[in-house]
Amino acid sequence: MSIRSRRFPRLLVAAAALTALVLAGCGDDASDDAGSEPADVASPRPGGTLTVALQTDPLSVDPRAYTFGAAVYVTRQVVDSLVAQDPADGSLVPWLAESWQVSPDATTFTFHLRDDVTFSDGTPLTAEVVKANFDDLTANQATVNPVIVSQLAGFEAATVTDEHTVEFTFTEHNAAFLQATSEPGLGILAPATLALPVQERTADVVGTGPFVLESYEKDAEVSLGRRDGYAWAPPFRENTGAAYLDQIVFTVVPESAVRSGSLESDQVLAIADVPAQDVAALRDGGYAIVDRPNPGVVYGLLPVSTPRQPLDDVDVRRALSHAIDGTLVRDTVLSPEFAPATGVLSTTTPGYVDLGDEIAFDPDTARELLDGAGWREGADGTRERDGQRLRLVAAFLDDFSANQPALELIAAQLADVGVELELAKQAPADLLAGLENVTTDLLWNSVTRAEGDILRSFSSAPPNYYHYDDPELDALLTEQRGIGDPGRRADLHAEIQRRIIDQALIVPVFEQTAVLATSASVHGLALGANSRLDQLGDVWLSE
Amino acid sequence: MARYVLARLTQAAFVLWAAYTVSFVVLFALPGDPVALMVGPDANVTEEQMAAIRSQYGLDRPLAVQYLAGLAEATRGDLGDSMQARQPVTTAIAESFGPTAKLAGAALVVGTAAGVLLALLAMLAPRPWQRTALLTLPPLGVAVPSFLLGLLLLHLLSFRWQLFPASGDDGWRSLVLPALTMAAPAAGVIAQVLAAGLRQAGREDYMVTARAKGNSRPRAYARHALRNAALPALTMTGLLVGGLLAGSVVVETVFARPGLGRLTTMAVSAQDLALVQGLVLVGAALFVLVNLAVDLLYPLLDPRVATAPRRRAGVRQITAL
Repeated sequence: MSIRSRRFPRLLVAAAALTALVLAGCGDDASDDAGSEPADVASPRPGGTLTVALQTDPLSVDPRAYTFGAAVYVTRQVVDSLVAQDPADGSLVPWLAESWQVSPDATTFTFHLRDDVTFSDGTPLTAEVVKANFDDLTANQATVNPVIVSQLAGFEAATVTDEHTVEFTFTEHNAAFLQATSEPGLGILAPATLALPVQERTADVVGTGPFVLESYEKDAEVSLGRRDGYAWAPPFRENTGAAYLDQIVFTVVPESAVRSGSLESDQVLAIADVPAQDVAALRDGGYAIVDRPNPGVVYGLLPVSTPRQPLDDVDVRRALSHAIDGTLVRDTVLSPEFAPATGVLSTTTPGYVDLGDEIAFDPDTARELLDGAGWREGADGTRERDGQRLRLVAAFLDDFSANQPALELIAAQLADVGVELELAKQAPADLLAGLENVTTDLLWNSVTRAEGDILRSFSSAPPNYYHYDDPELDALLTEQRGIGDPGRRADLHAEIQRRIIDQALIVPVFEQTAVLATSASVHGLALGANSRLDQLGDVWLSE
Repeated sequence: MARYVLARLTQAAFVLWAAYTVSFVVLFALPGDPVALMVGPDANVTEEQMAAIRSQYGLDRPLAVQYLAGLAEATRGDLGDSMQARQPVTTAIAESFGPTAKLAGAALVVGTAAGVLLALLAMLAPRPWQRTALLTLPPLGVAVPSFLLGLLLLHLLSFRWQLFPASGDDGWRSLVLPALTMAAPAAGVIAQVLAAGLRQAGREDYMVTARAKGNSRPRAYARHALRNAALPALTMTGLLVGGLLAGSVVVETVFARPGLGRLTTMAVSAQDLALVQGLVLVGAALFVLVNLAVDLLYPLLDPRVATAPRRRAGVRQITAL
């Protein structure tokens, strides 16, 4: 008994010591090694495996299944597209098609294919295969991602005119179709894949891309191998031949702190969706930050304007734009990679127009506009009109870590000019219900697409969740669909952006930005025109 | 015995039917249209397109038809198609079942062993303050959120000292941290219940007899008290399986492991009706099976139970609820 009793405290001491150690460990961050030596810009070295930790599972390797970031990161590696979009200027350049013609009314698109392209199973790429891809899309409309189906609006037929020429005809104008063919969603799949029922394509896809799918294990990892003999990368890539990497392994790590920790402890070489609060520490630790503003509609508050007071008054909407300081939001809750919004669209969107002056931060103008609209300062600082307080409900999803802090800051800025903003974090179903039943005033949102056609999210065509009612704007949005000439179309897009800002159909705040981080040994990793991970043919690893 | 098992199986079938029905009612009472949700507010998707998707998943049929057809298919083992995972619900669940079973199994073994050890040590501690100190640990294990414990273990044992991988499902090393995280609350519950049982047993006459016959204190506890105190702990273990399934949602997310928890997160957030319902059914079936197994184990531990299994089982179910 006596021996046992002496052993006992020792066990307790050990337990206490372990607890103390665990607690001490939380204090300081491990920012030890992670070599900060300058990247040697020597010649690329073939070989190696790039490991990338994603926030969400791609859910499918079929490019027609999903259009969200993680899905595109993966599918882009496996499939090529008819045309490519140059991230430098958003222009469309040859890829699987070496040239094309668009009819002036944007109803006929003719693509002339390269004659040297093969799928990874050896099948050659022909006009017949391209036609089969679009026939398959039409046949499986109900199971293909709705966004991709909507890009084919008015699609009539694909016709093979010779072995390497295919013509698409549409029953309605669809000028945005050309850019849509550059996205993985309309990428070209092998006949072997088309032969499978859609459900079986979730983990089995064959394309012409620089990487070949090896395996997909849901919620765990996607493994891709190099495609030998690849020789048809778009012209803007450094390396138009076979990829340098032997392998890419995408793992799925939902927790952002675990992703950052995995990078810092060399368990992965790259991570996606770096949270703003980790960016500075990673950069100081010698990691490279890869970032690019998402093309499309910037992050901002979308007023549900027409049927609901007080935002049915355009001056109240305009006042909100002047009351919010996007730069302060960026400096306070985001990282330097993010830019304050200067219009409806972000700077990386083709056809972007700088309307920064129209929405400049100017609280005095905001106050004047609100005074003019009859909203007078009340006893507690919040404005009132006919006994009604100027109180707005802003709904948002928990789909981006900075949403809540950004909106809290925005609420404080609006309070400065006498507007009370109530924040409502909602589940997607409640959010849609709130829009349909018009119980919310504002929705916090951004939309990604590298095409001016994204402005159609301001159209009053069904389902019209935001209850827009601007016939003049609708006419412009319809007109831009029918113009085949990119220059004339861009003029129209500029006019649309001015109209949207003039009517204050969005209160722009900052540009949504993709932020990735890589180990210093990773070279050539870049984001595409859609600000998703581009094909990784240029990527190589140094020792 | 056969009749007893048959009765329990009938009861199980009823529980599954109730689970299916209740989940159907709850899911369809939720606001929102799953197809509208899948499409989101920004896509320029036409009404015809939405209608096509609804009919693809049979969501355009009257509710009563959806319920009865779904029930009939479910009895044949067909739980419909998941809109998010884009595969049959049974396939999605089958793929996720293995990783979670492995994790929950490891957590149950570690948790039970740690819980029993802790309870015995506390009972045998010679000084009152030692016993008190040890008995503060189980509530701590239950109270510390898995999320926090998981990140703590990751920070130290994976990021700092790099002893175990932070994520994935690749060999036993990747199982250690998530299993420990999941085992902590299980160990806490078992230790609490077992310690109470042991304290009770320690006051029984047979313990006095055992000590009088020359057994040492540890030996008397291990051979006589433990067996008697194990019954309530065993009941708790059955209930813990449900807790472990729920815990897998957090633990699988923190440690980036595939499994039923991650599948559940996705299904619920996307309002994937068929998948949520399938997961509810599988959860209910597991719960029923484990508790049946526990009931069948009772007679082995305590021969008195075998004489009145029906009544004992009824009592246990009430306490379980």
